[in-house]
Amino acid sequence: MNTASTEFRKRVRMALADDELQHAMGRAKGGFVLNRQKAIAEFPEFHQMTDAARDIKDHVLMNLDLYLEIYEKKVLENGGQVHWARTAEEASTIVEGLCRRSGARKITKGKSMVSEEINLNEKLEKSGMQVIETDLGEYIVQLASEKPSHIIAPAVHKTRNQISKLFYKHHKPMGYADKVSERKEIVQQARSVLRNHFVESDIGITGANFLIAETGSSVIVTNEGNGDLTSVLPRMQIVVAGIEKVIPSLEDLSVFLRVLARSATGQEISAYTSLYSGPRANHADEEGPEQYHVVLVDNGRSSMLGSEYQSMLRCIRCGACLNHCTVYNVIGGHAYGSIYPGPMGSVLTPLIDGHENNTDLANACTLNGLCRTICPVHIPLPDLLRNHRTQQQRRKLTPFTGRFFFAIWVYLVRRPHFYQIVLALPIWVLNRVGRKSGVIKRIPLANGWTNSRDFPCPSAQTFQRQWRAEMRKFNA
Amino acid sequence: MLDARSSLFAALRVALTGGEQRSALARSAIEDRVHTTRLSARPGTNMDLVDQYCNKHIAVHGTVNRIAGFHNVVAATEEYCSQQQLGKDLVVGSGAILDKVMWPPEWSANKRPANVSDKIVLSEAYAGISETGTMVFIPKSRSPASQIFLGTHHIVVLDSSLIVACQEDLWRIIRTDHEVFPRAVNLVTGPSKTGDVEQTIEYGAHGPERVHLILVDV
Amino acid sequence: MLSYVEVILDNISNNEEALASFENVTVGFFVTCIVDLLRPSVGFAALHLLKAAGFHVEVPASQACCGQPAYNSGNESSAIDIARQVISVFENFDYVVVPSGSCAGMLRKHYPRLFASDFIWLDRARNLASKTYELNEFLVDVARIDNLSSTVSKTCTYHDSCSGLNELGIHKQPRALLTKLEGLELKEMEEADECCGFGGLFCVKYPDISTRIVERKVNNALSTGADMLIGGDLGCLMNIAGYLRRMGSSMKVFHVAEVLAGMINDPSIGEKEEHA
Repeated sequence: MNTASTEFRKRVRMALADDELQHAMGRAKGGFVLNRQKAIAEFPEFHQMTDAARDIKDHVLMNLDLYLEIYEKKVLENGGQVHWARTAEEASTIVEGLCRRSGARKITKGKSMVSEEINLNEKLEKSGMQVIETDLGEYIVQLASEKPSHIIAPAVHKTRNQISKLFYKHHKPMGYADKVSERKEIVQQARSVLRNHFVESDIGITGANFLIAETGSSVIVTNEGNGDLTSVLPRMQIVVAGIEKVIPSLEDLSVFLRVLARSATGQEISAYTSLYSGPRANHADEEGPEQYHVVLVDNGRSSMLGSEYQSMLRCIRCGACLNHCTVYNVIGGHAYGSIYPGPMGSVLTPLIDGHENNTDLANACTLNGLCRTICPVHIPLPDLLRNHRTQQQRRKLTPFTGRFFFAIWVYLVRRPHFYQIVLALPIWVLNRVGRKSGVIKRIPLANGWTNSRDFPCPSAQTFQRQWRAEMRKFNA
Repeated sequence: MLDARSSLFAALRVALTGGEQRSALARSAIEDRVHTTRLSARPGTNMDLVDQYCNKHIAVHGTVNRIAGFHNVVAATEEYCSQQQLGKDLVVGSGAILDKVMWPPEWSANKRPANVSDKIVLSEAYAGISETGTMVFIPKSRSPASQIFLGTHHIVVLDSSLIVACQEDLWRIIRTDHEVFPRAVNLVTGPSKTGDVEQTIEYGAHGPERVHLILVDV
Repeated sequence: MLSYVEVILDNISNNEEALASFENVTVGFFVTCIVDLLRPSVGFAALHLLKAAGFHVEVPASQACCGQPAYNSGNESSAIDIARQVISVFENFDYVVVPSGSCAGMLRKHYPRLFASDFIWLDRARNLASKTYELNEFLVDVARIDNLSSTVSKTCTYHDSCSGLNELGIHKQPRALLTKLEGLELKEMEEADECCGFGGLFCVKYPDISTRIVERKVNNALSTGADMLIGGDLGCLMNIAGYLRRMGSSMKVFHVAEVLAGMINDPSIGEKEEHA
């Protein structure tokens, strides 16, 4: 087993043994799923809308170069600037350069997965800038020196008690003497602390849910309003987004907005949907940034275009596949060891970060197919995970012993009559061992099963054997 | 060596066209797609637009008071403020209705951007979307974005005739009204909220804790 | 040893019209490797149900596995070889019936995918896919079986196995069949449609995760107070029964075919045989 795999298994064991995590995950799970179900039941056009959403994305991806050019032209017309980054490193360097050259000291951030992907905070902090995450969930994980464990609910793994302790530790020096433990108080305290950061911030950095080619707008969707305070108050606004975020027009945006919130949280629409299209006009506006920058990040995306993974570029980061994933719901996001966890993350991470260090992601999945069913842009996630497994097999990244036994099994399956003869004995032995109690308590080489489960005892003879003996009677 | 932009586009073209440049025809087809309104399925409703609007607004934790004529705005504001025990100090934005409202001397109606300590902000929405109970704002110099996001109580005045059925209608109106698409368009649906603590909704995360709508039949 | 074919199942039948129309229709029965090796009674139950519905049933000897373990572990070329074999053996039947949503899904949804770039085999794969059914959906949607009058005075809960549910949309059919049985009370568990953590090789590759998931499944099942858990995929049922036995629970676990065929007096999955 390679180091990465050992590490993965270690993280899984820790997650399963972490009572607070298990409590938090158990609590979160049902809500997302039920709210989504309810929202869809109330919106008969949902499925039609998801088909339209998929088609729009497919169309854009086939013409991505052209759409990006149109979008860029529009942003420039609006007075903004567009920067292009091939890699994570290039992207964070561009943003760091913009911040440093403008003399920024304090930077507020809206929730942005791509900024996590390019390790932006680290880069900015190294340059001596203070970075404040303003989404409450992101703020909580930032205080805890952690990474988000969910793409739309970054602190889903934290219990109220843990948040309460974190706030006490970090806010006490700021003059908040009392420990707050009620939800309302926690939210109020965060509001109060973050308000000052918003007005003191030099630069606001957000991601984008969508980029509109027609208008050159970046669209952010939030419930808290933090993304807007981040966008509107500082003197410079920087939007960091993947190149796949562009969509043609405002009407297309409406299609996505109708499926996004319903899939993510079961809302019809999030509390705030904002379109920002450039810096403030010279004199007329009292508010809005003086400079508006968009940093468009490739980081592996262009190599997914035209490949069997192209459909992954349709992803709108709604998080529904995480919420519905059986494995995600028991191990939480951190166990994946990637900022994109769950089904979408298990597809995306090896494409961005390579297979070698991420062999477990595609395998630690039951392929139960639910993520495909609920994906609002119809990404065939299980098929893509299976493609990853095929890649690993081709590159012999899987353990030798596994491949060896597998070869024997395939040999037998392809010779059904011989298969019956060979398997008759082990089946008979298992039956002898287990028939008194109905189960077998331990099977060597199958500890993975028998350490935690009994193995139900098989019949003494296979179906085929019994059938051959009795088929005449049956057909009579 | 190619700069990032050129090499990124080269990579895209390798994936999409085998490295060929795009034809003028392909380009204009996409230009057309961007600037032609294509309507997908839209949510249907049998309800009166304004009724549906109010229902949706209430469903997302908003409150509504429907009044006749701009001269009732002060009374409606007073009603809400006294019910919430808020006093008479407020920030007031601008708009076709609000610009006509005369504030009696006991009110301190400040026409300025909002700041972090403002309790009550009264502003006027550009339009409403019935589909979701959404208020639409297009910030301008006398109705800046801070007024949408910074008050604790956001009182919104909306001309009921400006309620449209769905988002697509809004886009159409904005295009007609504005030669250049506005720098900011803010769609607000209910008060600010967060589910980040125990996945349970709390209101007033960063934006307003309460949103009260004064719907004016002009 | 029990001779399943001697069990007479008067209580299953189909209406005259159906019986007449199915007289010359032959069903190829795909046993599945796990039923073949571990629980033949599921196969016999299914055969009885198909026969009672009026079909002529054949069980080709030249079958072992649908190839899903190869396919799901990324051994595409082995999966293709196995698929070719299955297609050749089964393509000439009028219908192919499989007592597992997972294996039926493999034949119906994934074989065509395996041959996406091989037009001749793609046609053959599609042809097979078009006549392949999971047992429950076949009994309801094709056979329209109407008389299942055995008495099962038990409270049961149903686990929707994922492949059947998510790939083939099987949800109503087993419930429609079970509720025809006299005395059977169906109590739905929380998260009935949630994965049980079996996942083929997943359960031995990642036993920690798998165990936590099946624990949750079993707790949901036990909370219903049902006597019996029923499902349509033996893999999941082995997993659930294995966990139930280990924790010492007496909840019985049966494949839906066994319950429909009135075999619930035989030992359930993982239950010891009672020797008279």
